[in-house]
Amino acid sequence: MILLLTSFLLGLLIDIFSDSGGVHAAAAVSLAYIRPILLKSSFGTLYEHQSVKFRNTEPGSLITYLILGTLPHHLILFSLEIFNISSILLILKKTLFSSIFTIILSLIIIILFSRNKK
Amino acid sequence: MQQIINFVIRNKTFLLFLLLFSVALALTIQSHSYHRSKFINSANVLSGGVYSTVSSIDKYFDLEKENKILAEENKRLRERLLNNSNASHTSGIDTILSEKKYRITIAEIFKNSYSRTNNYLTINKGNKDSIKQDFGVITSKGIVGIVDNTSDNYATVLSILNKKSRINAKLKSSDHKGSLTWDGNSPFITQLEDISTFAPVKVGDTIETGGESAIFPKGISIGTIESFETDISGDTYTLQVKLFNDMTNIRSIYIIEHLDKNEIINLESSIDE
Repeated sequence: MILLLTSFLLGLLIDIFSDSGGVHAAAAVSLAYIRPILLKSSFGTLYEHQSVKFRNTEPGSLITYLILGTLPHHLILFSLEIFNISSILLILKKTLFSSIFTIILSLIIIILFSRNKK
Repeated sequence: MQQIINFVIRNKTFLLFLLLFSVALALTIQSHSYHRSKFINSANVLSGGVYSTVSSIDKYFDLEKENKILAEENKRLRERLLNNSNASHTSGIDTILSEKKYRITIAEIFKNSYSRTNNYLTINKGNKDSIKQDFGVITSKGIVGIVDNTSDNYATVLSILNKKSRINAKLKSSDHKGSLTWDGNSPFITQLEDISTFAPVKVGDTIETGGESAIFPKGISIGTIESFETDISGDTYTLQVKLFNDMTNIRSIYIIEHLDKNEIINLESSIDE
């Protein structure tokens, strides 16, 4: 519940500053909503026992989680931003390349910050 | 009744998601209409204030380049002034009596954007400087866009790099008119549609504003023709126009107010009735 609200506010804040209507808010809210499903499908039983710790997850399932989270988020973001079914190719192209970049960036951040804490 | 309450409690996450998502969706749909909501835009006090602070720090870093651009423009204007004063002596028209048609305001861009499909700029003049919706925005090199929303101190500009933007433009050499649009791909290239195939189109020719709308005066340069092709119907050309402005790198702009605009609009609307 709180996660949904905060993600909405975060998205809205981005929207206010970048003149994009409610695009980011919509994408962030949907990401927050599907998060439990993503966690379940990428971490499996570990999540059901409520024992997922960010630092001691396997890299493989972490990457799956990242990809599963990034792709739908970007797809919603760009299809709402372009808002035109006839430019579906442009949407898919943007989604693909932005997702690759986002995933690489998130991996770099995760690696950098997990080193620090050890 | 009990069942309804139970249902709400059981599905509270889903219902909240639905609510927030529809709010976001409503804002998105609103943002796709031509003049957007007054609420979510960067001309408001919060984001305008933040952008103005950031910009005031940021602008020291390219003072030198800005100076160069201004000096170049000064030179060009001075040349034109000298040529003009010679011309007016010979023509003998009393220029003092001729009415002023445009009012120009200088402003600065706080926030530029060019990578999305619908781009908006935020500038540091607003209602207090009598900037209103549908004023034209240009730089010394070419056009930038049209004022969209205004608040007391700030205004947002619908960039020409926006799928909603349609600006009347023509070939400099032959007065064939079309509308300038953007396909959302490169921030350096815009498209000029509906140019008749009778027009003598050559790669490298200049495109300028047509002056048919009451927003931009005639003859403000836009760009040069990069390439052209006939569109599906075969009757018109679609030109790829390379902009004179580097839209990714602009700061000082001029806002143009057409002083006879209301008169023109009233006249034109009286035709429709």
